[in-house]
Amino acid sequence: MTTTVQRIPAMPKSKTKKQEGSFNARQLCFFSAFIAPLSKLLETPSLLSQYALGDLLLPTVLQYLLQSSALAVLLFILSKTGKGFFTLVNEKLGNIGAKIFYAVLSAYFLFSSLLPMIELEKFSQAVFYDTAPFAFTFTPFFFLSGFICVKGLKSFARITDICFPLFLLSFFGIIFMSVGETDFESILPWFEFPFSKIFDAVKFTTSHFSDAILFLPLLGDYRYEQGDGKKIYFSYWAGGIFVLLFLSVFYGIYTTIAPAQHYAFTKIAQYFPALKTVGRIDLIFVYLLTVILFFANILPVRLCVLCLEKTTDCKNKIVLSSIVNAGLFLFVFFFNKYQNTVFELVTKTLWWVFPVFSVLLPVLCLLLLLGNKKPKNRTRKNTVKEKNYAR
Amino acid sequence: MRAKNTVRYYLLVCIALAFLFFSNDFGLTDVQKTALVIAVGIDREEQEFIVTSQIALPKSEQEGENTQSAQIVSKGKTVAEAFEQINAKTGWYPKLVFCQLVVLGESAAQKDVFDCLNFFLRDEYLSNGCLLATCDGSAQEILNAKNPVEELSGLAAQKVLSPHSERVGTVLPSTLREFAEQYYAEGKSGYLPVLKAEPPQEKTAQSDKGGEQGRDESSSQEKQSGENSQGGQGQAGQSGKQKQKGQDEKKVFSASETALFVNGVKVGKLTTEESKTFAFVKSKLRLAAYLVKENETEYALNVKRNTPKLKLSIEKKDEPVLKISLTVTAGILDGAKLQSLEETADAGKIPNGVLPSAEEKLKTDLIALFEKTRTLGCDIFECQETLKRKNYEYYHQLKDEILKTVRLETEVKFQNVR
Repeated sequence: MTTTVQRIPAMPKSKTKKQEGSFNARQLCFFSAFIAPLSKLLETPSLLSQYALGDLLLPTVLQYLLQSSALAVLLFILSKTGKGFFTLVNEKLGNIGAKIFYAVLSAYFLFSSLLPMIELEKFSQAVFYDTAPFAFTFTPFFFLSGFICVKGLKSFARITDICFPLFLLSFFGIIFMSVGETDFESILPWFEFPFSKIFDAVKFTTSHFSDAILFLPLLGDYRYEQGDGKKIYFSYWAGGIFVLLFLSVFYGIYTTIAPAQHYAFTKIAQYFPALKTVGRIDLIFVYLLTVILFFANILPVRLCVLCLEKTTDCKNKIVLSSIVNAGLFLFVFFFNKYQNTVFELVTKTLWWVFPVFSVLLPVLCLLLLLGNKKPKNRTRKNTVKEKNYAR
Repeated sequence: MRAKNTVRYYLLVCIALAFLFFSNDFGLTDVQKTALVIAVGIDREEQEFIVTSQIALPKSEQEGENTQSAQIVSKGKTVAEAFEQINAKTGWYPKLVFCQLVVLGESAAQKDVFDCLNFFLRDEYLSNGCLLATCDGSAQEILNAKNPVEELSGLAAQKVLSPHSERVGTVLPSTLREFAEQYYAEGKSGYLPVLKAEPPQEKTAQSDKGGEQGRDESSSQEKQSGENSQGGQGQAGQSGKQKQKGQDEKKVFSASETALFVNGVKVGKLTTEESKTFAFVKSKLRLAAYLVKENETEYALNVKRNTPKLKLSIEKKDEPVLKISLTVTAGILDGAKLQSLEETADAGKIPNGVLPSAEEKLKTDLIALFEKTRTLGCDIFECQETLKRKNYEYYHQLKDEILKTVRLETEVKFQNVR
């Protein structure tokens, strides 16, 4: 007796394209809360102390108010249109206009990464080496940067998932080790300095706080859902609270000599009493934070390559990444001796570039709303229904 | 496939680079050429700085000695130049990452000490947590002193300035960071412990008699040996003298006195008693001994905990008032006279009148201490800083004269530990 088995034909694959952005809401929240603050923990504390001494929290709050407002504008635009920024820009500005827009954006991202690269190179030499090494030991960083620039933004999104536990462990580790030595009353009195001094502190540190513009390409192909805006906005403020806590502890430890303490997050935990017995275990947390700092500094380079891709329509990311990273390598190699000059140029002479791009440009993006139909309300339930229908 | 190959190529390049770097030890200086500076002494001679660096020289066990030190004295117009002389004289590269003590000589303390301390503040490799002290005389002599406790005098001095010594109230240690913060603060006042090298045995009447006997014996032996040989000293006398000399050479450190600084210049000194009184306000005391006299008997109290509170308020007519409140938890440690068995059995019982006497004594000492600092113009109670933080509206009006015009109120309470 033979039995025949009827083969059930396979279900045809859904022809609807899976429209998912590079980042999802969770990853954007992780980026805002755990990666974006890192760039404010290196040189920014000493800079803020230099201009504002004990009032260093005030310019920080003002910076976060500005940047979070710009971020809120970008999220508002997404919520109204339901489209990513790349789509909006292409629709509104046309092909050539969009290319000009991306070219300007890529130039900005490249410019904004110059000073952080030099600071990072100086930091790695000062903290990880006893003497000045004879070779340019920062070279491997550009290989890492080049590799990340070749990968899609989704890879960077996954990096944010990894950075979340690393940041929490290492940040609260060094804060725990530092709190014993902190005199929180040292930030008193409030409003000691006139507003002109606070404005100077805001002006000359704006290059370190310009985060809102980073979200524009990250939201380039983002599928906005109801409630995402609040999550991302409050995550950004969570990052702000981490920075404020760090600044309070930093100034509480160093008070009047804070302006001379560079590479702040490597220094605050060294007075923990147990370190005299067990050694500098705080350096474990410093290394972890340094890893996250590397990714935070590589992101503008990645976004520069992304914008160049859109400008040139060049699909070969390896070529673009090589050009950008080789250029940065040469810049850091030849100009690392002129850190002060670069610092003066970026933070004092051309400081206005940063608020133009990080605050004014997002506000101007509101013009992208003109003529756009309001889409139907995309909630989580609608999204699930759409996914089921697509199947 | 292409993506996989890319990953492999990058990994190979990274491994190759890592191999290259590790084979150079990240450019570390050869240990044989490194001078591990563990303590630094700074003196001043007119326009030049005299830097005494105590360098640790590890020896192998086969050589029979554990650790020795070398002392290099160098001069320079700046402290950095003086350190460079170490390399010029010895070929060693001075490494300050292990330096845990900086001693300022009397000559250095007579001018702004930050002329020399600035080098250490700027150095990224020296921890700001290194101990700072001053001394009477030259820092070179302090570091030259041989210590019976430790091979290296720098290490012996660090033990005296340890956190434990701070907790028992015998020393008021200070680190480079703390002293720098005081220097740059509103009051521009600070304090440093005064390191002293003292003989290990205190002179007593009995030791004097023993010394005289020893000297008589040696002199009689000398006479005998003088009869036997011409112009020579007796061996017994010689060994006795050498033994005495050896004991004199070794000295122990103490740091019970405290030097006061204004604008980086030494302006005065607190005695041992005054330093202990100040420790009640500044330090977290645990198991500190405090002597009190009651009914012609000396008692030693064991201070378990102190809770100081300093409050600066502005009263009527803009009069600043500094209120120091001290709550001290203490128990009886010892008495000069024998106590009855019943009294010692009840370990918590303190003889009547001892705690009130302690309160009165500490209060009197505190007022005397404050008046001394007021006379010297040294704001170690941080009146100006507190005025700025807590009463900013009066700051510009009162900051210049606050130390002279502030009225002190003290409240001291001793409570039994049980």
